[in-house]
Amino acid sequence: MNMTFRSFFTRYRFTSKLMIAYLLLTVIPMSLLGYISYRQYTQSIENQVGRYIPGLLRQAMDKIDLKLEEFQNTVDLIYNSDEIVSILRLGPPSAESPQSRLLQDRYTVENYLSRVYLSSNYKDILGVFILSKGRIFQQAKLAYEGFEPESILRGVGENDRGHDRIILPYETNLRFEGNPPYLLLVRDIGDFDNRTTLGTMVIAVTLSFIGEVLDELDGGEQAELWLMDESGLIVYHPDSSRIGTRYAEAALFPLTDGSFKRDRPVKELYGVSKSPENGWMLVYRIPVRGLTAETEGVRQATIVAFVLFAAVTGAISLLIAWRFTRPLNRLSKLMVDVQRGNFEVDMKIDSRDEVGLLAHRFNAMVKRIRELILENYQMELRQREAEWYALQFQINPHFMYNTLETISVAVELGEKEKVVDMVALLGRMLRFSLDNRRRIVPIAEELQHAEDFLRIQKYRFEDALEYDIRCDVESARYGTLKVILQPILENSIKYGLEHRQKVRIEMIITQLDPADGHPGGIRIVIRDDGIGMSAERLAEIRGLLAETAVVRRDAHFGLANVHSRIESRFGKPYGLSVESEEGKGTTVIVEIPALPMEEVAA
Amino acid sequence: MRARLEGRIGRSRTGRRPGRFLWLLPLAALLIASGCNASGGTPFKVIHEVKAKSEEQADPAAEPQRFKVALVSKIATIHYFQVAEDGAREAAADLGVELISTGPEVADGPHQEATIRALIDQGVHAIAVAANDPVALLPVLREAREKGILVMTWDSDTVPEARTLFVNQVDGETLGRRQMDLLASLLEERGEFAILTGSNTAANLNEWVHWIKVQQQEYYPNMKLVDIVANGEDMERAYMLAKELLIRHPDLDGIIGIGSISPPGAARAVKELGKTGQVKVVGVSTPNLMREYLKEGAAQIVTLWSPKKLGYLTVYMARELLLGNMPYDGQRVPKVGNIRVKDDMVIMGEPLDFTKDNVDEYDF
Repeated sequence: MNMTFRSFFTRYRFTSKLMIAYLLLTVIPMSLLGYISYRQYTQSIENQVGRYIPGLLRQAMDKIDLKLEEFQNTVDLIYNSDEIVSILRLGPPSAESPQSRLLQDRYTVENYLSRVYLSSNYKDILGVFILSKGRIFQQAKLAYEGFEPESILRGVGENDRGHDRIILPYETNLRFEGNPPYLLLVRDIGDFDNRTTLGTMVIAVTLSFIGEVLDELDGGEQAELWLMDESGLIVYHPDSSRIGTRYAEAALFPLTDGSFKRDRPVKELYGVSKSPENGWMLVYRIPVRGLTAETEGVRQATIVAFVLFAAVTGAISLLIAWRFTRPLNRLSKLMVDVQRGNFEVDMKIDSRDEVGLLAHRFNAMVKRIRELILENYQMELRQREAEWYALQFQINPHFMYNTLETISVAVELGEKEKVVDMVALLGRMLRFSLDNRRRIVPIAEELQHAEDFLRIQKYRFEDALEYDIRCDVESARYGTLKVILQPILENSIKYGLEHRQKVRIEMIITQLDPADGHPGGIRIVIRDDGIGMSAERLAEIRGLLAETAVVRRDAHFGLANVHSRIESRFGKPYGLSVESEEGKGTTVIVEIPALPMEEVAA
Repeated sequence: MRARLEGRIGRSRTGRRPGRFLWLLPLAALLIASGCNASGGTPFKVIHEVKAKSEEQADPAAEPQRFKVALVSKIATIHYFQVAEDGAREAAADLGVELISTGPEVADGPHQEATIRALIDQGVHAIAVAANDPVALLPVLREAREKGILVMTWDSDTVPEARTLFVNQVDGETLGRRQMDLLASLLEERGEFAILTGSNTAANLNEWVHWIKVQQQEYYPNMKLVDIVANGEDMERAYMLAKELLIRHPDLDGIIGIGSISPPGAARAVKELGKTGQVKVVGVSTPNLMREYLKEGAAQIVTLWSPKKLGYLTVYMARELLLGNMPYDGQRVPKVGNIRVKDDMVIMGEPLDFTKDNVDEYDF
């Protein structure tokens, strides 16, 4: 879990993460909340209806039972007339004039039935029939046909005596005019005094009283209410064509008193109440849609509002994510560019937030890298070029030519010792300068080389050149760049002898103690007493030294070359500086760090 | 270097693919969650169930007890109580009650007390007594009640403290006054009459006699009660006593027979002494005992209720009391009709008059 969570947070892009975060924090909780609250609400409506409906049904069922009981109890009205009871007790006459007695009895009884039962007190009674000792007494409000005593008494065994029965219309052939729905209530007329039965009374009752009771139960427009017996046979239904049909699902009902619901095919809520008297069941059915009709509108509106809200906030969060990731993506692209070597990039973002800061830093970084690369590159280039020229200078062809000519003159003159010495000096110089393995050499060797050069020049110029070297430094211990003194000396001789007959060169090497702003090191001062140089000329040379750009082939190239090498090797403030006064001579000062040879070797 | 770089870009592109649709997953889960409902085997889900009180009582396991009810008559041998027993048996069969019907050989307190004591030992749940003596039975009935037996009276009451309920066949005042009225109308409110009663200890008979006297004193000054004789619920004795009465009082115009064997005894005596029609006989007796005498004219009118019905009602009430249900005024008792209730007395209904014209309608 933790792994997938972590991999989820490392694997996916910011836009995805932000959208998921948005969904998790907004859309899902809100839709869940909405869904749950709607569900809870409908459920509470269902529960409320489910709770109060059975109570109402129970009341209605009780009313119906009470009505039925009332109708059944009208049998007692028979006992009000001793005459009728007497007729029923005595049974059909057997002896003389049986026919007239029988008809007279019938007249008496039916007259009584008409007066008592078909009066306005009992408007729901359609007709009343008495079966007594082989006789039938009958009286009805409507014309009828198909009254069959056998079908009514069928199934009424001796044990059923005294038990009330209700006969549904489909069980008999009795039909009233106009086909009103009716019930037959059957009750024995007991002879309580003699403990026998006087007969059976059948009362036909229209079902309209059930309709009246159910009408009082205002269940809502879509509700359906019906009455059925235990087997699911519909006793009463507002749609009279369904009376007598069977309701197949009655057997599936999970209870007989209470409420329940089903989800398919339609969501419906049921309420049932079963009569303890006759097992009839009053059923109430309403589609849940009908109950929640009012909330349905609210639900639709909420869904629309929610979808709009989700769309708007989703778009906003997408925009924010895009705004947030777009510079990052651009940065990433630019980084790829930089990676490929293109440093000429610029991330143009003005915002002051973290992203803007990042872009700013990125720009600064790229700029710095660019500068560093350029610096490094140019420095390298310059050094290589300088070294190349230095190499060239080490074996300056003019010098070689002049020296060889001097040797040649000396040979012609037969100055053997002089020749030998010059050749030896030249050889040593060549060996020193051709040794490319080392860039740093001990100062002593460099001094030797400078002196070798001066000695050869001395042979050439004889008394026109004078020099003096003074070293106050442990010259063997400290190192220096190779061939830095020779070009300076060359320069001094050249300019020193240009307009004068004689030049004197002084070279002093001293230890330079660290002072304020200066790290210390070794100072080599080369002074000549030549003509010096004009202020303009001096400024020009100084400018040349200050210029770190490409070294040009110039009159003072030698000085610039040395300066450039020292500076690029050791950095400021090391290097070369020039002092000069017209007519009085020039002083070149070389400053290098005190570089112990052990460190160089290492 | 270049290849590595492209490789990295390529990977990041493919890595983006699943992420694009990942956010749909919770949404899909939501849809699935909302669309699915747990469904059971039946299509219906109960919301609320009403627990009916009647179910608890109707539960057959809750009523394993079969009540044992004892019906004690004044005397076992006479027709009236035998018929009452028939009604009681019918009720016992209807209601699932075990009935023990019994009575003393002699209609008096001590004999009846012995009968009751025997019933206490049998462990009955209820005893319904038609008391021969209102006071004499008090100790034994108290004893029965102390043992948790329900004690009630029927037909003839005891003192109220001896029983829980009295099932009375008729209102005693109504019956007594009516007997006087019937005889007065037959005698045109003049002449001498005597009362032949079944017992001078039975409370119901004494009450009726009392109201006969009251009615005579209030309305019939020209009539005279000359004698009251008790026969001990003995048919032969009733006949003998009636004969003696007729001889002792030669001017006697009428006899009121109280207790079911009194009118037949009186009618037989009148008939045998050739005084049919001359001495009027009324009283309280059963149709079957009186049918012949009524038709011959030896007796004119007898009054009664249905003893069958009384037996039935007594057993019904015993069971109701054992179930803890007290009767209420106007209650409709199945196969009996509506009853009246006065305090701790149930009144079954109005008395029936039997004459030679309607006596054939009745069979008890």
